[in-house]
Amino acid sequence: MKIISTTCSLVWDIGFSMRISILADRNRQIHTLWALFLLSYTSFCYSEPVGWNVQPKVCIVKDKGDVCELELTITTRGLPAGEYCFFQDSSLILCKANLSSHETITIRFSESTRLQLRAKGGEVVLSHDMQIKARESNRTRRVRQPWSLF
Amino acid sequence: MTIIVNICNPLMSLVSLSDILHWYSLESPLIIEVKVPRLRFIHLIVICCFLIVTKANACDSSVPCAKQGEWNLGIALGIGARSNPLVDGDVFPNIVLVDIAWYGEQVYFDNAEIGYKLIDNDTIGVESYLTLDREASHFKFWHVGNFSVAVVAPPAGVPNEPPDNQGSEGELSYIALDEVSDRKWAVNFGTRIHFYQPDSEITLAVETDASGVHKGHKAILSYEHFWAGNDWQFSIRPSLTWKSDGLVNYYYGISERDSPIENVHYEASGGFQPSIAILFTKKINDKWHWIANASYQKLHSGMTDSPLVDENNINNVFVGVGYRF
Repeated sequence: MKIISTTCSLVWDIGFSMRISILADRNRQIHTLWALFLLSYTSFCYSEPVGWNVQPKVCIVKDKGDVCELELTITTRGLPAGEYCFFQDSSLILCKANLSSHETITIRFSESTRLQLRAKGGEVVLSHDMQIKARESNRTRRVRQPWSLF
Repeated sequence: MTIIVNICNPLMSLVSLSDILHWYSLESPLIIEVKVPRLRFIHLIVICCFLIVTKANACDSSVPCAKQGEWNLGIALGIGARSNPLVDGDVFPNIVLVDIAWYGEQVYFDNAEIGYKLIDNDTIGVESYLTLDREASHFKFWHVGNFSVAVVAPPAGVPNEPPDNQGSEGELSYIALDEVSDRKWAVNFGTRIHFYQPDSEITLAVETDASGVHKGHKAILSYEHFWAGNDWQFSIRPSLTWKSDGLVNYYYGISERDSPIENVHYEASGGFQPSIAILFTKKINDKWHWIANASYQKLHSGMTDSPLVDENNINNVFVGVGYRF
């Protein structure tokens, strides 16, 4: 990304300085070509990177070990068209041919887990770690099996 | 204090506390009459362990846990039964199971057991406790061991069919439960050590009769493996129990106290009893869950050869729904 950004700045600088000189020559045709070139190049340089926003990011449970069930709101951006699948760790949640920019999925977990968006080929496109936190636990391990008087 | 330090010395491992105190009183210019319960090495280890700093262990969804400082109550309704190995003994219908536990930082009560946690961390746990010896439960219907039944079931259980009690030489080879004298409840003092792994646990418990009823001992070695999902738990626990001569003979031996007929007199002996138990729970919602448990215990010949014993195993099964308060 840094290389692209640097290249874009350089092209902008060259283009701007050339435009000044071209304007000075009053050569309208060349000016129009450069304007088109810069316009297309600008759209390339400023195309939205692929990303997503997952809300909420943390689940707070009463005690450590409790199961958290969360309805996640997922906002994607810059995602090329195609079929994508949501995975919770290695478990498939759902697949969709055309993801809308706002999706809602429900996940259940009792330990920290990872949400992934994978392309049809299986490659991980986006990844997000879900945290689970317990309020101060007052639970202790029992020394005997429950439901047994002996 | 000095004595406790000395008895922690392994070289004195076979010397009881009462022996030490007796020796101490002889060496002292003052004649001190010291009367203490006769304690063996295992108990002295327990006393030493009181010096060890404890640390609470982690509790996750795969192991049984309790909330500290409050009563953990549960009641389950279902169907099941526990067999009775005694001649003419009642089969106990499991209709209601009760689960009662209270845990503090170190002191706890857990289903007829009161104890003190000496060590409690992620890898090891040690506790000493007083517990009712379940052996007497075969002889009584209305007792805490069969509390699961007493709430709902009628007092008349389903008796085992008494076998033909005539031996090959016309001698009595069996004696029915209602023909023998009463067997008392014993209270055992024990120490248990747990070795925790993420999904398993090895437990060794040693118990001795603290009530003076049978003056016997027992030791239990068990391995338990846990599996858990988001809303279910499953465990399997094979174990091996050793019971001493004194314990087995008090409950299953036949002597003058039971019958003047010498033909049925029997001196029972100790031995090993392997068993396996499974427990499955599945959450329905925050309060309700499914419970299924089953166990099988093989009895040793020193017990099953008794004229009072008809079966060579004890089975237990229950399937139902439980409610957590």
